[in-house]
Amino acid sequence: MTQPFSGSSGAATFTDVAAPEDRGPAAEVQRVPRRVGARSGSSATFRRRAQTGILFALPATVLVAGIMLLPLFQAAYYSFTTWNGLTSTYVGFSSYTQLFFHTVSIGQIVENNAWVVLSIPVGLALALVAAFLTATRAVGWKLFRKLVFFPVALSWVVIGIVFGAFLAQDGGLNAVMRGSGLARLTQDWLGSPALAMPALLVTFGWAMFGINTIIFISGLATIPPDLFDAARVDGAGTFRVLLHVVLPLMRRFVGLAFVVTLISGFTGIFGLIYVMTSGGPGFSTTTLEFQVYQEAFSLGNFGTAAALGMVLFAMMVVVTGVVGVISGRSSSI
Amino acid sequence: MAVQAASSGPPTPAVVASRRPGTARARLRGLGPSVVLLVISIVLLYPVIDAAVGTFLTQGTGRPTLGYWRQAFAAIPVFKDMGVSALLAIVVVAFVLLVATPCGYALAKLRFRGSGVVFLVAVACMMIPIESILIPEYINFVRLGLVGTLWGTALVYIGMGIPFGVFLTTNYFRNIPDSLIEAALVDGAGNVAGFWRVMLPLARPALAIVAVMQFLGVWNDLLTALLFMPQSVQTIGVGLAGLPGTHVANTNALVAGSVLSAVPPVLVYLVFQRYLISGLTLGAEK
Repeated sequence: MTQPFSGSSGAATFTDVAAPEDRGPAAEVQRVPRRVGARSGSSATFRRRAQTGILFALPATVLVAGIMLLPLFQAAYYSFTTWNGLTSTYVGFSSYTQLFFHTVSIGQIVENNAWVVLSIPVGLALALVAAFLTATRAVGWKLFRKLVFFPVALSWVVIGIVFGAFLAQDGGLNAVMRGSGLARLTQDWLGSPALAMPALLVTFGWAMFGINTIIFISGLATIPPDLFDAARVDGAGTFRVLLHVVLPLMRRFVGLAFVVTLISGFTGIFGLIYVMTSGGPGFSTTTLEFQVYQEAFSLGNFGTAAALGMVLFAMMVVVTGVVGVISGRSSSI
Repeated sequence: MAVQAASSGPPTPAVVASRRPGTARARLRGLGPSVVLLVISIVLLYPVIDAAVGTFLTQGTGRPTLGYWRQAFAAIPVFKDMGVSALLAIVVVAFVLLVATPCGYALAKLRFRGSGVVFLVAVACMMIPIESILIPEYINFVRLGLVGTLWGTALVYIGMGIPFGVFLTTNYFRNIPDSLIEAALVDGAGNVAGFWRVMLPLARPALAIVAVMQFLGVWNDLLTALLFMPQSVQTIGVGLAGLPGTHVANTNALVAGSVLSAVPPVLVYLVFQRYLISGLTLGAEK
């Protein structure tokens, strides 16, 4: 972290800008309105830079405020009302108590979301191993890198249709099992209340595997090769290199992959569930996200749907924050 | 500093050289990772290939047939719907890039009071469950007369896509060394010129990632298009999702339609994957 210009009076370095806590007197001067071209060149540069920054950030901020934040606040308001889409009556926390104390299936739904969380480390471990294997430049690693990301191009609807067919009684999985002497275990994987959620999670893991592998491949590329050579010279085996050298350095990338997968699993797979199981059998594959849709679009309980949406949003913010702190991302924000 | 050191190495992530010349046994052991990668590839591709092949075979007898594909084409105007999806996706990608990239640059390199908050808001917005805000959104857009228009629908997608664009470009710009832009500023370029001439070309991989993710997001979305698009014009996603309700209830026809609708996004992925993959590592190598 060298600062080539930090000693000169004229140019403020970007390091100054990027690290607000390091701001010295320049930041104080900045608060005093002064014309450009005034005595202190450094504060003028700094102010001009901040002004350009605001200008650059403005269109995005305005659009997000109008299209994401406004309806979010409206939904927060409606979660305290009974609302049929046209008229709303204030009812306080009634939607929330209704949701958690009077919804018969809520226990099952929350449990399904817990299963989504528990499935993520398994998927990430597999992706990390795959990324590490490509980094060993095993024969065919370039082709693998091309293939692995491919499910990212498929929509949840398409994935749901394909896996719905694959996991059906007369589908591809059962055909493979009959071919390999496992005929007794064949069944309608999505038709059983006990197996539908695992089947859904495998499909979800399948779909997220590519993006997580690519995140880890890009993460591995940031690790200087010397480190691996050093570990090798020290006599560390592949597994130990992975565990003691790669994993600690990859914390940020593991955190990113976890959050990306969690956000998808909690807020992005409505289409998959809708096509594959419609939340069934019973409530065995209904997640909180799918229940928001059910409450709003099937049952017309917009207030309850809004309340559930708020709960889901709060959960995402908290979990992402916690993961961020653990993986050390917070220092960069 | 580690960042600079990597540039002298090979352009690809050469991390561990596990292959060593030597005995046949060692060479065989060196193939171990390849075998694992092959198995993973088969697991990844088999369900899709199996389903795609199934659309050409009559259920039960297994005789070759094009019947399911005819059913799919008869049920929905496939090419018109795909054209609508493509137009929508391109408009959204263009506007998200136009708006999110300068914002990401500002949050990374032109920080102002409150820029940290803007970044946090962008991150938080990525976690909003779309279902929970779509109804207020819909009512707002009805009031503005934007429901049932292509531009209104595009606007919803743009607003929803910007947070990810800002998040990714901010993180990307942060990883570009300050010394590069300092050099440009010493050469007399202003903040805007620094952005256009120095940062934007370097950020191409990040922009490619944002563009591809946005394109796929719009192409693959269902709910937003269902609510906001005009009745007479629909996206391929909506067309497909409507199939089970029509006379085309056959699973294979549904898979046929799905496979066809997946061709453009897969092509986009194939064309841009050079950017996507080498792009993700470029920030570390340059």
